Amino acid sequence: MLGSKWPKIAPYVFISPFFVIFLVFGAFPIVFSGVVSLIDWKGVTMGEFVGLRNYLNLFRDSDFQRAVLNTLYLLVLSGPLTIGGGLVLAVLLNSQLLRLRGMFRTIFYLPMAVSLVVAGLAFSMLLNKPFGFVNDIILRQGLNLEPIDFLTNPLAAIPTLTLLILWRCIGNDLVIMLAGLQSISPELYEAARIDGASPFQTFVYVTLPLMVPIILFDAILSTVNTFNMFAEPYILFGTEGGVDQAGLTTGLLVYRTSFKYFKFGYGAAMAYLLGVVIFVLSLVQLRLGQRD
Amino acid sequence: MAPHRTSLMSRRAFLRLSAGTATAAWLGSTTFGRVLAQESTPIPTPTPIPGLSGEVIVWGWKGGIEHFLAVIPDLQKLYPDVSVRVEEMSYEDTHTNILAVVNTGVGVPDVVNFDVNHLGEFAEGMTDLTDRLQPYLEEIMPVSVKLATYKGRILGVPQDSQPVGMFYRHDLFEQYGIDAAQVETYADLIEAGRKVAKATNGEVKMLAMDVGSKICMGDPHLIIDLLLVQNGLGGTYFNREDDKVLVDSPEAIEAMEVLKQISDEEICFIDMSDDAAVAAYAADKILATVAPGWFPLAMTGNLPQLSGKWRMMRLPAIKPGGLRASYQIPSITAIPKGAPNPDAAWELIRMAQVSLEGQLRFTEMTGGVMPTWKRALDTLKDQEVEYFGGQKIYALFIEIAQDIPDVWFGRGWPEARSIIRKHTETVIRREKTPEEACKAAAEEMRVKLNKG
Repeated sequence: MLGSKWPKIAPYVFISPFFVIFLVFGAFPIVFSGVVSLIDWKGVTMGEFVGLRNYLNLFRDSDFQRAVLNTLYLLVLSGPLTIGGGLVLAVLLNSQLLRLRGMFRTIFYLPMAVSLVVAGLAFSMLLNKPFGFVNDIILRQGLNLEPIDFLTNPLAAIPTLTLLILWRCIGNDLVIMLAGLQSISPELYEAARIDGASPFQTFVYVTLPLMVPIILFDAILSTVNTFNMFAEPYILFGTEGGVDQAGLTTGLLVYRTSFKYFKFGYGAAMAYLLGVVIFVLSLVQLRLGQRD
Repeated sequence: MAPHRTSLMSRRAFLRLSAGTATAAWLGSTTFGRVLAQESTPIPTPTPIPGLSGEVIVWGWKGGIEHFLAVIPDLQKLYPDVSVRVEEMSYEDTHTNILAVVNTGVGVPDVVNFDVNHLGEFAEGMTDLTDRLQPYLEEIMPVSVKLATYKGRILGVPQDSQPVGMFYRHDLFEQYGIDAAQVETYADLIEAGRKVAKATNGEVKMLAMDVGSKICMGDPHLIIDLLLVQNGLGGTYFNREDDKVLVDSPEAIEAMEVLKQISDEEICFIDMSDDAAVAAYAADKILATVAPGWFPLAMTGNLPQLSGKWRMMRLPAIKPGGLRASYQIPSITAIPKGAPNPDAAWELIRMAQVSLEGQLRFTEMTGGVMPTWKRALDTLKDQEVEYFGGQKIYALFIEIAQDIPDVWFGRGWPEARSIIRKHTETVIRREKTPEEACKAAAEEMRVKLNKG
């Protein structure tokens, strides 16, 4: 019976593992959290249907506003640094003039292999006031400098987080950029050189325009990652986001709301709204990229 | 406690570190060891449940589960067909997983440990233990029972006691001419603090807290919580019916005003992390701190060089003649609804926690965390603690525990604490008046917790 139908159904069977996994772990949670976002669900008992109230409450939730602003600040600060830094490093490491390129690539990528928790704790210890290594160096300079309050000064929270992101992620950006650079035809560079372009002009007029899709891809990736970031701020600042909630990011707030206060409906609404924000930001980035 | 920088001296971190190891030598010289060897009075003798069998699964975090492991051989003598599996998880995971199972009904364990401030959240998913605990209620400190009760139902067996007192440097008080007996109110404390600041040109201060309004060397337990309870708000933020937010009541505003006064930079280091505070205590820069029952043991471990120099007193009162007692959040042990083996679970809890032997064993295994049974506490009260110059600090803790008024936790309490913490910071930083901060906190709580 099955024998005669097998040739027809076989392709579907072979591709079904992806769809089964996607439906169970991808589509279902997305749809279910959408449903949950419309319910005042505290966890223990099935809550009441509240329509869009969870979404409306977000607009007057000062924590949510704070988290979104902090995350945007983090994105504006860390995005250009990691993407720009990655591009500059990639250009340097793509140069035929540089020796030991493989070693440098490995060194820059190594932080990605370090556990996030380990990295966070190490930074937390390094930046501790007044006993951390960094402050120890500052105090030993004999310049009568005050130790820097990296972790408890509200103004320093996002820059400190940026420092950790930069250290950990620049290697990843470097690899993406390097792949982009290596896909550019050498003939274009040769043509530029024959036309008398300087290395800087070559970078601006040849490399950069051709790298736009890669930079765009990296920017979208950075945006998504920053809005979803959890482990780094959690380890550095705890679930409250540190002093004055200066280190409270959207990822941290979604976690706190859902898994500390057990407000799953509100947390789901938050996640959905953030999904929309990420989608809009990505769209803007795409449009800007296409226009260029 | 979250694995971040403030975990050094939290109660949970302390329990985790101390469980059965660090303080064993210290315990050898205390009353616990001797009392364990004595024949204790059976209170009352329960009748074994016939035919009990199956597996009992226990969930909890390190520091709160060892006494369950220790009681397994005794349990199996009584019930050979009962086995016990203790599943250790992190503090956060324990609470998250409890909520998940009571909600879904899948994989429900038989015994769960959780901090009592989550009681309002878990109440619907926990078995009412009122009848089971009834024969033992006379034995347990009333405040511990109150904290484990939600809307008239006892939903958990109290595990530890955390009355709060004020610790002060006896030698430094003498040096600066401060008579601890005269410090009866926070106003007295502030006055004494000013005296010290004047004498030392501001280098030495009475108190220390971090800008997040955390008591130095303690859990992120807000000073404002202590003050609210002291000023008559037994549910800290909520009313007894758990349907109204009270943090903008005149009592709450008055408590916040006291917080503002004691966080004055003249008398208090307001931006001091735990690590920095330890260094400052060692350097004789801080004279006093407010902390609960586990704290003396942590001090012994972290500041051994200050042995004999500390003393303990009651908290100052908000007003002359006012309440000088408050508490920190303890843990309770409960049986979730839908637990596969509730009778065996109860027998395990009874032997581990609802007996004098169990209580003493818990105290021993946690390195000296205060138990909840009156008779177990009695074994501590005559103990002269060398670190505190031979003072009987446990006797004082017990007195304080007896004076703690009617107290309870409501739904959404952890979130409410986060909200009040945020607004308290604005008072400490002098950005808002106490009234403004209390009103803003109350408004936020009402919106987020859907209470009146």
